[in-house]
Amino acid sequence: MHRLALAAAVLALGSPIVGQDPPPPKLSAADVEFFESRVRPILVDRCYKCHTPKTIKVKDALTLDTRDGWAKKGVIVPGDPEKSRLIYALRWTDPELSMPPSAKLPDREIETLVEWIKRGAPDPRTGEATPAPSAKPHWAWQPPKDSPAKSIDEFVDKRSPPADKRTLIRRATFDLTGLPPTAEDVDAFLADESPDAFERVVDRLLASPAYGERWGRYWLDVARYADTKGYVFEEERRFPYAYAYRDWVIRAFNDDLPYDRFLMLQIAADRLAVDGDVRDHAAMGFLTVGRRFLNNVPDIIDDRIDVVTRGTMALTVSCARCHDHKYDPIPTADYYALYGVFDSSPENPNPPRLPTTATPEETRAFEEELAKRERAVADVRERRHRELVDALRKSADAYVAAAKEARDMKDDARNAFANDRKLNPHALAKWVEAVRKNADAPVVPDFPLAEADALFTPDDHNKVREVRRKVDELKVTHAGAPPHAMSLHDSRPHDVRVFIRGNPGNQGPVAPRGFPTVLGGQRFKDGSGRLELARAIASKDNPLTARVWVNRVWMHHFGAGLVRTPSDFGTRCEPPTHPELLDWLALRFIEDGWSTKKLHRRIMLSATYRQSSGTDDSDPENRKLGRMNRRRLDFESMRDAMLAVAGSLDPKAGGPASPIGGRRRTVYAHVERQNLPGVFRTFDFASPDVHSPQRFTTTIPQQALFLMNSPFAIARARELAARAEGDVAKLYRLALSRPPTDEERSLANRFLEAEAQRKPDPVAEKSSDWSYGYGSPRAFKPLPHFTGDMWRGGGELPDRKIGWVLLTAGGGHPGSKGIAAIRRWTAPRDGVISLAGVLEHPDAQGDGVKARIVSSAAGELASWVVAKRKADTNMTDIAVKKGETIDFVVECRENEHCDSFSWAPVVRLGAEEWSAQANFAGPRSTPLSPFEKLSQVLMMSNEFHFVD
Amino acid sequence: MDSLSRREMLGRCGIGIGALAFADLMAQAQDAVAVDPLSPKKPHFPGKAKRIIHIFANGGPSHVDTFDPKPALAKYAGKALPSPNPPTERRTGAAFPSPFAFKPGGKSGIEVSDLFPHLREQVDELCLIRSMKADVPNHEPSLLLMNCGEARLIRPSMGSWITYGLGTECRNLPGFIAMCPRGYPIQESQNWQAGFLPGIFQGTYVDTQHADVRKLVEHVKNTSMSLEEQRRQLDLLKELNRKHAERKDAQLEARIESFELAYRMQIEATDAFDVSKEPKHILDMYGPGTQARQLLIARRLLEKGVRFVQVWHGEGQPWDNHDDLETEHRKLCGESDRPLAALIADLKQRGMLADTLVMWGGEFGRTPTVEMPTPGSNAGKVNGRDHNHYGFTMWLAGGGVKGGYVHGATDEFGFKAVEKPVHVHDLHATVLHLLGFDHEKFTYRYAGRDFRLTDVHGKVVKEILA
Repeated sequence: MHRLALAAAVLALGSPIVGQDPPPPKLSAADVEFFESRVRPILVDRCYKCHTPKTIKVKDALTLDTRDGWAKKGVIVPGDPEKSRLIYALRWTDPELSMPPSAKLPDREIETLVEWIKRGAPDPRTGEATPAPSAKPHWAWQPPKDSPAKSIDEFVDKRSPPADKRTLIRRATFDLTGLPPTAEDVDAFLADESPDAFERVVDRLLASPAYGERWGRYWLDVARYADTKGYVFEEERRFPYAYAYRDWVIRAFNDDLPYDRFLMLQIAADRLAVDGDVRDHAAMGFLTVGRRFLNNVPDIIDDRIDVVTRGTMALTVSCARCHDHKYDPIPTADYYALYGVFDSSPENPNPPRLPTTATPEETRAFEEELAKRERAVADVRERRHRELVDALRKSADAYVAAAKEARDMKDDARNAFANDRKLNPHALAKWVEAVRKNADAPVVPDFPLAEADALFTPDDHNKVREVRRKVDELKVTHAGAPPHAMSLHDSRPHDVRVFIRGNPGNQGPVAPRGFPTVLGGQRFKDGSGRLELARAIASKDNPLTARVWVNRVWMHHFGAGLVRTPSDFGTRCEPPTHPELLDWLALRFIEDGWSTKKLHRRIMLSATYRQSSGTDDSDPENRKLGRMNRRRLDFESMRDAMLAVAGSLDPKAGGPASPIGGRRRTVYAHVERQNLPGVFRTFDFASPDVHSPQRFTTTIPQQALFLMNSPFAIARARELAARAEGDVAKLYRLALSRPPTDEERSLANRFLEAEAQRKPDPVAEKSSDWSYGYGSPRAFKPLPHFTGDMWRGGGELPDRKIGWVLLTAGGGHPGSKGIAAIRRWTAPRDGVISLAGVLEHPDAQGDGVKARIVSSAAGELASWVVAKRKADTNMTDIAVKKGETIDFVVECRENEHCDSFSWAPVVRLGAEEWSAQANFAGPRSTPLSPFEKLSQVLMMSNEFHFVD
Repeated sequence: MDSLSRREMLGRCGIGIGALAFADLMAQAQDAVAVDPLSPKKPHFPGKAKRIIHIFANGGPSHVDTFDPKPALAKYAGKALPSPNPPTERRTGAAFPSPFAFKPGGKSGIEVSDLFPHLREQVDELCLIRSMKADVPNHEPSLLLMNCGEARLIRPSMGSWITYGLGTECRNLPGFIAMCPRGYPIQESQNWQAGFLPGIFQGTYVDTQHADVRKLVEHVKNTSMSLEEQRRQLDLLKELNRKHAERKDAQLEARIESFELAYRMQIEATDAFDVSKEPKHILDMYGPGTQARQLLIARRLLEKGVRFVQVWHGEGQPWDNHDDLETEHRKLCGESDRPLAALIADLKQRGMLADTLVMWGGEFGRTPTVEMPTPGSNAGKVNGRDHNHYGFTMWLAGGGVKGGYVHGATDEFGFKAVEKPVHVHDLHATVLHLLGFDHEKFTYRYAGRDFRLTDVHGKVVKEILA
């Protein structure tokens, strides 16, 4: 339909049926929900493009963005869809009045609107605002209001009594460093009776490098930090230098970098760090360490918009990717105004180099190898380029002929034409140019190396990618690889159009680069606009930034924020429990030069922070702050505290990440975004996929299993016990920074005595009489690898050295000829034994197996050959002496194909029985001593895991 | 406490305000375990299905060779179809009639090809949806769409949603288990991601090649001490913990209880993987091979109360037969036919089929036309099929769906779903309905929005409900 006709139709549609504008009825919650979840999205997606005052300039035209809009024109008769002209138009029965003009709506959507009108067309939209409810009165978008208070305590009505000093120092130490206080720290504080004793503790902790490791990690939750890209198809999965960003964040906290500068650098360090510290370029990892979505640009940008807006301003802008935000005044245009900023900010192909921590030798070795591999990339490209240009020159005639034919084609058509003729589209385009200039004697176009990519075939690209991957790999793996900043730079600043419903193929009006309208909506003019964006966020005039940060800091000190949705300060969030306090803190924070350390002091020196976790149950969610919240240690504090009390915390700070199984602080553990190891998830670690507002706190048995059984927990228990040197009092001091009570001391002693008297576990002992090997009874070699349910040659099956040989609880598989699978029983004492068992080769294929029972004293006792059948392997009256062995040997016949067997013999000696099945076990670790067991109990205790 | 307020509560105490909401909860909950996010919960209304097994034929099984007979293809064998082939991932050419014969099975007489002779005998239990459709002909987005209802962005998987909504009946095992032999399917553990839900709702991955219980439940065995020794340790721990908490505190109580659960888990979880505990006639029924073993393990897990088990055929994309379709599909179906039929019969004989929803299918189907050779992939071969998201077949069984029933149809060649098309979102809406959820009300508030598995889409396919 033509534009004018459309306008006419709009007017026709708008002829009034109802003259008076009825007052909007009171809406039930169900009506509002129906409208918001079902109707509004349709109107926004399908009608707003034209029917809003902004988009339709015809006088008196129908607008559908408010209730008044449609009521005035009478196009809806509430309760009667059949009389509603809106429905009439949507049904497309009248060619003169069919809406939307481009395509009929899906039946479902029309049905929804019919249903809505049947319900009486409940519509909560009043006034003129296009997106959801009017913005202005919402507290979070107003400047903070100051109050004359002198301290936090003036905002809190009633407090519990102060916490005792021991509790307080433990709380403060975990809060600021994520580590427990040492017994010496506690003693010193207890002994210090000066009035500023606690203040000095706080200052000491703030000055500790562990502070940055703790608070930096909190920020890394905000920044959805990970060391990998997420799912990738072929490229290198690891980010080579993500750690440089992590280290920058930690350093920024330790240096108390003003928070406004901290934010600005993370968004626009490329512009700000020019004259400053070169290390600051690393700050932009904030934008770039996100998931890479198989390099899909709109998704990468979405991730960056989300981390910036929710992370710094608790503004949920990414809701507006596909349609106007349902609840907050954030239209899609605001989203694409930011999209343009990031679309104009690609990754810097020559990222600034950062100072290295490697030795000069490592650096030199790296550089030599790098030059070699880069040369290899250039070689491949140059060689293929030369060959292709030669070939092009040879087929110049074909190109000229084709170019003449294609000279008037559009790009797409010409490219398709080139493909059909098996010509290179880029080359043809250049020949067309040449032909246009001079059809009779076209000048042979030039194909410089810079254009090689356009000439390459998919095969060539693959080859180049392959050698280039070797370069990336070196940068990731070589110890001498210097870090580079994962930074962005401005390039070709441009605006984008709104993608309708988030679809890049369906573009609406241009969205000029700028700040969200609810916060002023100023346009950005300087390059990509990223620097202006950074300034607008890190501004004292931004009503959100300081509030959001002081709320996050508060949350980490108290376990809950003053606003309980720390990354959503929108209209649907709960209002702050203490709005005046939030504003007062935000304003003091700005006055203090955005100093986070000063904010900590302000909070921690208050009586509100220093109160006890108390016994008052009248306010279960503690919304009145009448006590301190008891908090469980998060994953990092728990793991770090275990290492700390065990005395085995590796102090190495910074640099490339280490495996989680190691002994460095958890903040330095490798975070694999795509397949995050289970232990992180078990303990509610922040999802590295998207910005994480706050940690969950779940209580699940897998957490207990980690503390009971993991090699990590067992190793820490042993180390702690060794440190305590068998002294219960010392053990308590190390583990819990306090002496045991008398009662605890006697409990511990009773436990230790009882454990010392226990006999070793009978099943475990029997297990130790079995061993698992291969070869022959004379040359028995233990199988080296245990998977959990089988012994075999190694991690891979078949093993490169010994092939398929394996043993399970109930059977196994032999190797190739000469490599038997051998289950060995060793007599623990003299006596007469009997043997029972059933040997089976169940597979219908294969030539079967040969089994033998061989005694170390008497040689072969019996043998069987089975194929596709069973045999009883019972024997009696075999005399054995202590230390002699009985081997259950299974070997293949001609070959080992399909030779799985089951054979789980039982050995009887006197009244005792050894069952291959029941006694089957993996490698045995040294048992824990009674004192080590006690040490583990203390590390599992609630007291260890909670901070009061 | 009704189910909704309990879920709201979960949302609240889930977000780190910990102790606070717990106290309130504790007043009402039966015991300390209830603070556990995995404790069983009631859906919106009583659902027919209590648990799900989703067998994922990853890579895209060909519907026209298995469950959707298209005799019309024979007329055009080797020739172009009358209308142009819709664009798929790669170029396809002439009609490619199925090399496999279809025969009617059961009382319903529904036709299934000779690739699934055993399953054909169970066809009266199956509800075939022959009009499935997805959005794009590529593996990654289609896998994510099938699993998470969204092709690219981070969203919780169906199993995570369901475990979040229903908890699990078995405290000794994870509530949501994804099994795949030898390694991951493509898109890896994102297929069972928890997204923005708490990490505990993420699927636990098990490599069924090993079926090691220690991979199913991390740290489930202690190699340094016996269970008896550990029992005495935990008794001491309990005593110390009691002394530590002066005031009743749900959070502390829950943690104490979690050690008891953990202790029992060590004994009971081990049992789940031990298929040797099955009687011989059951082992024979499933037959040999990895598929048989993992489906049998899956049945044991379901029996123990695991809420959602996803069983993948193998690492990568085994069903992705761009070439050699005839031999490859014969092999894949050969591996899975008997165990699938056995699973259905076995669930039925245990009285579990009525409330266990069985789902089988891939991320999409395959073209009825032959794929043209592409250098570097199927060069030189013209005997496979390309991806087809326009129309494909999935089947459901048990759990409140009609058996011996065919829903919808593709066009006469099997290219596009034309009759009663069922989008993946509709399938999700239907699955949630079978479990007792209104998919439009089953939401989770995150980043300023109420998210749903079905986003803003999905319609319950009422016709397939029993």
